[in-house]
Amino acid sequence: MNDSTATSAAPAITADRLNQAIGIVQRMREEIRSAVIGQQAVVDQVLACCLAGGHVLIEGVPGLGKTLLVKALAKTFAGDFSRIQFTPDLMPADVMGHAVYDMKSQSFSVRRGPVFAHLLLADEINRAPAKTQSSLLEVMQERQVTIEGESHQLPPPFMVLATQNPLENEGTYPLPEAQLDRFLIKVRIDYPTVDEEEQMLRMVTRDRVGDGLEVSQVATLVKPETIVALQQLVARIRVDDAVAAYAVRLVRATRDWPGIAIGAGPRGCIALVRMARAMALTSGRDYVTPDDIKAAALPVLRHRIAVSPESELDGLSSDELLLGLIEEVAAPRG
Amino acid sequence: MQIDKLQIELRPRTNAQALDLGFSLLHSHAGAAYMAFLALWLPLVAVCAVLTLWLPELSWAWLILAWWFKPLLERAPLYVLSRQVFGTAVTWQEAVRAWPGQLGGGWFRLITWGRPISAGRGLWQPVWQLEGARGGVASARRSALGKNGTASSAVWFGVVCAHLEFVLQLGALGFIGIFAADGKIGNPFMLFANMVSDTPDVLTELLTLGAFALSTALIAPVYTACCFTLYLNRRASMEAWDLEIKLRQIKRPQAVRARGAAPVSALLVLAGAGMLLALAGVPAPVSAAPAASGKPVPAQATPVRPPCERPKDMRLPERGPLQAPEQARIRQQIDQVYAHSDLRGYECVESWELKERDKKKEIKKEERKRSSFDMNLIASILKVLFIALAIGAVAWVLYRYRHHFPSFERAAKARVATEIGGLNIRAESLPPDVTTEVRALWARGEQRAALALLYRATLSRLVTEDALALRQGNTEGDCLRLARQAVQRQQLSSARLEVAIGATSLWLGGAYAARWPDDDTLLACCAAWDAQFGALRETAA
Repeated sequence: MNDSTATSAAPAITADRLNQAIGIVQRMREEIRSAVIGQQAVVDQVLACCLAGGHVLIEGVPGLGKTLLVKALAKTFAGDFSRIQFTPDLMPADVMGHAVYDMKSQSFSVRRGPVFAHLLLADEINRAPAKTQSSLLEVMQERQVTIEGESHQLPPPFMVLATQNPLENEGTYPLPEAQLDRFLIKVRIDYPTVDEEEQMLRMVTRDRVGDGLEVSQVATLVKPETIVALQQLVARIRVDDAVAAYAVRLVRATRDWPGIAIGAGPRGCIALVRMARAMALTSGRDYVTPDDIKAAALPVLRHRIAVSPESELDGLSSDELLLGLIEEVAAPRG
Repeated sequence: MQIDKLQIELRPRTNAQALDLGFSLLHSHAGAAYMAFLALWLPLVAVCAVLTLWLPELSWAWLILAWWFKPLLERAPLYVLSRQVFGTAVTWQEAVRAWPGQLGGGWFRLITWGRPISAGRGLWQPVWQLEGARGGVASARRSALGKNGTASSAVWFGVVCAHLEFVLQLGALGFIGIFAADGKIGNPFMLFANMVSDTPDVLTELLTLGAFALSTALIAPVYTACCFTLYLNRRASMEAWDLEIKLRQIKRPQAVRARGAAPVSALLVLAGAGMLLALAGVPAPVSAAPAASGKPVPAQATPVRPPCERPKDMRLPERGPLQAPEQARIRQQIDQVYAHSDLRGYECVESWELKERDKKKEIKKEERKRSSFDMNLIASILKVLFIALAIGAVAWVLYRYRHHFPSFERAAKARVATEIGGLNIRAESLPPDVTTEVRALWARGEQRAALALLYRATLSRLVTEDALALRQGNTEGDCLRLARQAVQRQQLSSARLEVAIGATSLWLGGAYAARWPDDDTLLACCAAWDAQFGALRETAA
């Protein structure tokens, strides 16, 4: 195995710059964790996704701190935050914005929708029909909004954090595969542990009137521009050919793995490497190891595969299948 | 009670058959029996419903009230059935009018202490209601009727009916719940969950009462009818009603015959005279001539039947020694009498038989033997085949669902990897002196090969000497994680873990970042490696 790199053209990251970036990421993580009790893996994955410039699909029952997580993340870099509650009657214009005729100036003016923000929390996205869900496609992919034929760029960094209820709930519309593919990762929020829940209870009930967790104690560390710079840095994280091949092996294995009806596409490979780069930075490295790929595989691939009906009948979930696959696919040794 | 007017076929029956007879009885007279019960039951339910509306928090008490007085109402269908079974047609209106007069006897018991344990009351109701027995007489009658398992059958049948009522009630509630409950609620009985809460819903309480009323209205006449036929069956067997009925049936035709004897005799005489006149004109048969001439009749040419052979195994009963000479004479007489074929208990049966039959029988026997041999062989083959198929099927099922058996999984995980990610980690694949070879490669500028060898040797030592269970898909991080777990289990020393961490770190930097260590770092790592893994290897060798 040669030692060629996938990003050999990119300039090397200096040690100072790397250390500075690692420091920022570590502090951001600590600040978010000070507001979001428990869910450490989810915090790490969402932060890494932000650094990778991707969008997150969060699945979990209501009340587990999804909004709090987004608010805390937005506050760490002074980002604009907006939230849309998706409902069955929500229209695309409610998300994007629309042109309004101004009687005084006798002209149309654009009224921007809530999508014009750094962080957009699309709450319960699967409660809206496909038409409205699809309105986010262009935004997520192109990071621009077209209103009345005119394109409007969104301010970088832009990140969509969509939540969805488990699909067993009534009144939900499964996200189309094209939409799912736009999300870099899908994370699952589970109930906190006993200790975490007790800590949360103490925090919420101490000198507070309401019942919600706040982000007032979260410090603003950097500006949005810094996040953009960190994203550029992540894009230059070194990925060895062997590691990239490992990512490809993993993704290709999903296509003929027993129990998986539809495997991940090439976009899955790209997402896997992007996420692994960000995870390498959060681990304090400027190069990706197979462990980063392995750690990123589950959140990146779980929404890109379809479990076969036989496996569903056997009670196997996409996570269980992927975990078996990850354990079996040979890891590289350089 | 005129048992010869009984409308059911009376014969000795088991208790279960007697209960079953009740269904047939009720089926024949269902209209009057059900209407008589409903005419009393519905007003009682209506009263309970009104009470529920008035005091819904005591709805359970009103439900029990209806259940409590139910035995008294069962006397109306019993009145109908008891009359019908002896041939007296009774309408439900007549039964309802007669109902107050039927309440005597046992009523106090049925609505006081006996109510909770009155599952077998159906058997006793006729004693009070039909026989009019009271007090000690009634008690003695109940005791007599309940014997031979009859009381037990009545009690168990009562228990079964109570369960059936409960099931029907649940079914009715579930049926209502399916349509009335919120669609999101999967459990149809959730509609009735507030029955145990402090704030009862009047509608659900009324629905519950209605379901109870419906199930009771269906089951109560069945219970009454079946217990009544159980009672009839017991009395019939005790008092031999069936025999009495048969005797009466025999007696009746004789009386009929006696009444019609004179005209029949006259007809017979006329017929006889007619026959004689007719015979007078017919030539006498040949065989009759000698008789007419007064000569003795010669023996007929009918074939003489050979006497049946006596069975060989017939023996006279064993006798004791003779006690007196007279006894021998008596025994001889007895033997003569006993020797008569009529007393031997055998009969002679003649039939035609083919002469070839015996031969055919033998041939058939041989064929049967042959065919039975063949069948046995085929059966044996099939048996082996089926066993093999069964074993194969079980094996296939076990293999197909092997992931569901944790022990299988553990066995799979327990396999020690000999190759990880293309690196051969068998001990024999390593040079005798690892660090010397690493240093040599490093000196030749083959940095990657040197670090790969060092890392591969580390893994090999961990697997072969420390029994670290690695798998094909384990990454460097996984290997270290497993090594740390082994340290916690005191399966691996901390010093060896430190060397493994150092070697892995050098390998990771070199392999994935082309970041090579300086010479001093590598040599220090090699020295540490020798101290831990090299020495142990020699000891092991």
